[in-house]
Amino acid sequence: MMPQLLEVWNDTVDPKHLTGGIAIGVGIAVPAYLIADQIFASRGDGTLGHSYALLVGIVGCIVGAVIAGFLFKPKRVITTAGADTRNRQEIINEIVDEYGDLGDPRELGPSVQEEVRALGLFDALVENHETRAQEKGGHK
Amino acid sequence: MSAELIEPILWAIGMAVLAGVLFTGIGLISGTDETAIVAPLALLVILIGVPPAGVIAFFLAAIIAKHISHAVPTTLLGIPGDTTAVPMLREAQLLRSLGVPHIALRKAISGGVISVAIAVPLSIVFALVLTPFADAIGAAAPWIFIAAAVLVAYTSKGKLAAVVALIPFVLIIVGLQAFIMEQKEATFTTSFFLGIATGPLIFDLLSALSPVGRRAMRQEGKREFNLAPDVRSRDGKRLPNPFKTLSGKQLAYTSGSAAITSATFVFSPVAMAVLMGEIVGSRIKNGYERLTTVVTVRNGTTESTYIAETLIPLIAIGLPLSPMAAGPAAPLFNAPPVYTLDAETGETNNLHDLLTTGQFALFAVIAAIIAIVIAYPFVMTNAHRAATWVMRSVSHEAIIAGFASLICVICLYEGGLLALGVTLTVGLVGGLFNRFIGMHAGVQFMGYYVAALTVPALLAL
Repeated sequence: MMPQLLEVWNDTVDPKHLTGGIAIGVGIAVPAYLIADQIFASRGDGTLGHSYALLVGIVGCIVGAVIAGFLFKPKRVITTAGADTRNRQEIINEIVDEYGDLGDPRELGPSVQEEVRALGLFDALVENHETRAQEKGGHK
Repeated sequence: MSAELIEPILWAIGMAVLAGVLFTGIGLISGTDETAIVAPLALLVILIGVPPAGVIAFFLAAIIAKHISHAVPTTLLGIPGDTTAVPMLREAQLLRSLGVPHIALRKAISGGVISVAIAVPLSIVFALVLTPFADAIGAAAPWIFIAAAVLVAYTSKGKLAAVVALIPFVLIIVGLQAFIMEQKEATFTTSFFLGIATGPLIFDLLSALSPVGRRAMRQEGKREFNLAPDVRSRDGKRLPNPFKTLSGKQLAYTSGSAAITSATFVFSPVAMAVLMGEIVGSRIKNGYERLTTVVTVRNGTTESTYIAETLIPLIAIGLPLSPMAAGPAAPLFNAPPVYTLDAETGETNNLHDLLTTGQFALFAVIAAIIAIVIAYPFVMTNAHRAATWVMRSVSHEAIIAGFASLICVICLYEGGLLALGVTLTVGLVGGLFNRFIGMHAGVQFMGYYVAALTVPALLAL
């Protein structure tokens, strides 16, 4: 059976793994801090010893998190999209529908034009712009 | 250079390198909210006894590096890296669908670098302009804080509801502080801050524990993330240069908005990023140029607002009078027993008193250079690989485990089990207000200061 997954703090977790992870983290860090605090206090280090104990506790947090990281793997599915196989004009049309005309790259400054050319978008943008201009003319 | 400056400079360099590396990494993880992550770690650095030079350098390098690498999940995965990355999400997604996510990324981070270079000196200049009025501002602080709290609450997602919710929230803090005073003859600060900063996490954890809450949090299967294809241009080997990545127009607009947002330090960084993007966008006719320029300007604004909102109140006033200072930068103003802010007299003993303006300038420049040198080339060249590694290997369970144990340890350090109870209370209530009323952590931090400063002043009337 698929484990029940939950969304906690903006990402997906397995509740069993989450409980395990927190138990490991707290189980290492809190005793580490308390024991260190006792040792430093018994040696009469005062405030500074209290701060050192905090440092020990923090190392405990990091160790706990790293162990939890090794035990529990992420619950994410990563798909690396290959380049969109659809027609370039279709993609641009979709963007234009949402954002408005992307404009004529020929009206841009020379350095920006070069950037658009290097991206391989120049001809596609010109074509899209001209088609749109023609359509507009046609509607009149 | 005088000999006594050498040790602070070494601290600044060391802590900036640490923060630069750490936060370049943290920025790659999507959804790592600035307040929830930066505030506790800054607090930690202060509590373990790092000197002021190291603290300021750590903090500035942390936010500068994070706001460079937060563009990686935003542009490559289409999910905001943190709260301030939200305004550039739409443009980033459109450029991603156009098949050029790497352009969105490069423009965004180059805008960030330019913005840092402008915001650091300008913030110091604006702070100097404001310094003569510091005493007057300090005397009026209780009233300024309540006005700011109402304003910040009203401009949050919760609008009027967040303003009204300030009343129970402030009363809870006042009540808890009175009880703590009775028990321990001291007041707590850290456990309140931690509760506010990590409220949504604490609320989610309790909700997941409850069968009722769990039903609403269920997820059908694993979440899918669509990583943009790795498109790298041929000039990948060259040393990255923001002046070549950005066009002249983009340089000008980014510099202009960085300069403006360095002065508007009382407004929310997210709001300023949205506003600057709109203003610049409305002035550019060509669609492609508008997309890339808005991404550049918006990410630039996340850097300039964060730097100005930290440095100006720190240098000029010493009181946390900006949304940023009352949020991620809160520990720099008040982190007892190291840095204190006396609620009754308004007297401060924090970075404002411990560093001169010249020292602030020096350590800010060190932090900025180091953070940029670490984060910018790394993100320019390794963004795709790093994003893949984080998504595949860093589990959310491990991150939560780390934070949950950090909360426990810091609370026990401040005041034993009582402090842990305070964080749990404030976190649960704050998280609930955050999730259901739209009252974000910044409003709640202001609420804390209303409880500490305004309430006593009101009672003394």
